[in-house]
Amino acid sequence: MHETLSRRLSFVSAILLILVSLIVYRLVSLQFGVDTAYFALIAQSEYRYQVLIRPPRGEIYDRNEVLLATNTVEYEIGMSPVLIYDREGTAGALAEVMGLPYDELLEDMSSPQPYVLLVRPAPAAMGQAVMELNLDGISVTPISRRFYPHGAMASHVLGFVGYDDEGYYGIEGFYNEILKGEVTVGDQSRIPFEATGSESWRSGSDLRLTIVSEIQYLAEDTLARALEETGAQSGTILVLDPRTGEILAMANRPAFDPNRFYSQDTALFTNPAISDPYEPGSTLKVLTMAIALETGVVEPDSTYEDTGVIEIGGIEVYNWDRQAHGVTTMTDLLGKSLNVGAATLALRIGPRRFYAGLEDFGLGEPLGIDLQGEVGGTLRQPGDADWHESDLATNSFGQGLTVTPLQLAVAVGAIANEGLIVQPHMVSQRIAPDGTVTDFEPTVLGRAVSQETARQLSRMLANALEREASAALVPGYTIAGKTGTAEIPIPGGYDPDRTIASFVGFGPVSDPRFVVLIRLDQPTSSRWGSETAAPVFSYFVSRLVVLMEIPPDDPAALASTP
Amino acid sequence: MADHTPEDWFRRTLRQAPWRTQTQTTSLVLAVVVIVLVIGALYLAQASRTAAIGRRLQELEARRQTLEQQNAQLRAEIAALRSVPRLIAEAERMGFHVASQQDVEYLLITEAPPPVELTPASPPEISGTVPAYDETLESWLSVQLKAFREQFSDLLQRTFGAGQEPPPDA
Repeated sequence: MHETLSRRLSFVSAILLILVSLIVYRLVSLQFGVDTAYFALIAQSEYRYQVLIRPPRGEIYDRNEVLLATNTVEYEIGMSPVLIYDREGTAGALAEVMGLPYDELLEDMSSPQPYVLLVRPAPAAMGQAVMELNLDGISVTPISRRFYPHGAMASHVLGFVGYDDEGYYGIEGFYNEILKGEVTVGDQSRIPFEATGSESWRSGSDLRLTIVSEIQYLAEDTLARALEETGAQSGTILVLDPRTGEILAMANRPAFDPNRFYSQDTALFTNPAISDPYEPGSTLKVLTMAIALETGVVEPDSTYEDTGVIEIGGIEVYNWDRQAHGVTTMTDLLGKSLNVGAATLALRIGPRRFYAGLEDFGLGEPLGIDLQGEVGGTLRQPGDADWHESDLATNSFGQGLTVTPLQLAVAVGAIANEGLIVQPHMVSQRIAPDGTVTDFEPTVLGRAVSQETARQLSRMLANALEREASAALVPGYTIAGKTGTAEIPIPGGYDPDRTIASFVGFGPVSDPRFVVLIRLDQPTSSRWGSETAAPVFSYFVSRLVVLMEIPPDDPAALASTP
Repeated sequence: MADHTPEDWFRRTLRQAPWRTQTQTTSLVLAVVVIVLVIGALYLAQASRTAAIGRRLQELEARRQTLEQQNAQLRAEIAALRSVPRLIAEAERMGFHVASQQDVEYLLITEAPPPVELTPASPPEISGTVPAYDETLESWLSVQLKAFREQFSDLLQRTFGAGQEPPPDA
């Protein structure tokens, strides 16, 4: 009896041992066998997940640390109908907070869809209010968004950030890699046991621009008024410091609101100040005169006989007033803006030296400003298939070649800066996430003309404005500058009615602190730059000097002003 | 009778009784079980503590994210309130106007001191030779003992008032 029991027990034990051994074998094989990696992957997929970590995008400030671009949060609010148990209560609460119709919400809750989108993007206040309700089946997902607190102001300078978190146009586009930081993929676990905190990420750098918000606002406000008063379709005001190449303001109209880039006409995104070359017209005579003085073909007190017409390369060039002005000084040539005089100078200079001189002023190539989308304009030269001898004459007074407003402002800035061309730039400092500050130093691109030529021409330009009692004059300040009225090329010639009116000048002549370019496209009140752009220049500069705290260099003139 | 010899007595006395062997085995098993239980309990305690900390970490992460979002939102709101177009509109509503040239008076200060040119301070002189490391265990011990003695005497002073300084308002 005892033996039988013992044998049965041994048998049962053996069976149990075999079963346990099988289980242990299976466990060991799962843990250490060839399929371990496969099973580990399946397990990890259950409780681990990857998240795209987008570090905060760097902020953009103006020169005085006024915030121009920052980050904010909006929300996506949605619902999972199957997870909502109290439909009436949930719909009532949501209707009150979100302002949506109660019946529509109830209808959404009857949807067979696993997820129903309610609002995207929802404002922060709404998202946070819904979050605080803590309702079953309602999800509130934050969405990072770029925010431009000044709205459309400086929109062409800033550009915008798209839905893909990439920067487009302007500073956002040019410095996209620096601003957006390092996007990383983080590995997160749903098991609290494995929680490790945030993955390390590198935030984007902040940028401090050279523009001044107050000057930018003044430029945009002035431009808006100018368009209204002159009937111009569009325009540009550009302000830069000729000594450093720093852009103090860059305003274009029409502009766009970068906060609502998705609903704007994409044609508005292009920055006309750097991307829309035009025939500058008579403002280019400043460069023609500079090259003439530099090459020694004329002196400031030289004269020429103005017969009212000159023939070059088979075409006849006339003055704007179709008049002959007789013996004319160089200063009067500039003051009266005589095409025949400019063409005469170009002939004396010769094509080789003339075009080399224009290149020295930065024409024909982009200047390398730190904004996305800069173009270089066109400058046909002898040897090019489409260059004609008559181009020498027409180019001398700004026809047949194109420049961007920036190129012209920088070229005239070289006159103000004693002949030196300084590369224009928009960013003055880069502030890394660790606080390291990198300064962007001015870069001299080269010398356009000698110091003596620049000074002579500055005086000539100032005298020309005085003699002509230009509308561009600013009481109390000596201003040098030149008007321009460029006809708009059309197939087969130039449009007889439409013009681009402009004025480019700098001041105070004794110690130039600013170069200002005004461009008005197709004004209707008058076709002439002297009657449209010049008064705008005067109005703008009279306020600019207050903002820049520039004391008058001719106080007597200011005192005599009513 | 042989059992009564001293030799038998010793053998019988020293012989392992069957119940002692069973007790030993049971004790051993119990000890192993207790040790396993203790280790298990320690592991569970540690694991639950880690999990609790992990959960707390996740909560803090979520809280931090929420605060960062709220912070960004507030920064954006402040920036919008400080925007130039809004400030100018608000100033005009309050009756201010943009200063013109006639509103500004510049004062010519003829006796103003010239701007001070900042000259960088000369860097501190650094000895060309670095002192050699000559610390020994004995010197280290003596330094530690000296520090300990000073602390001890300081404690004695404060405790028993020997050589106590007068209060500051005396």
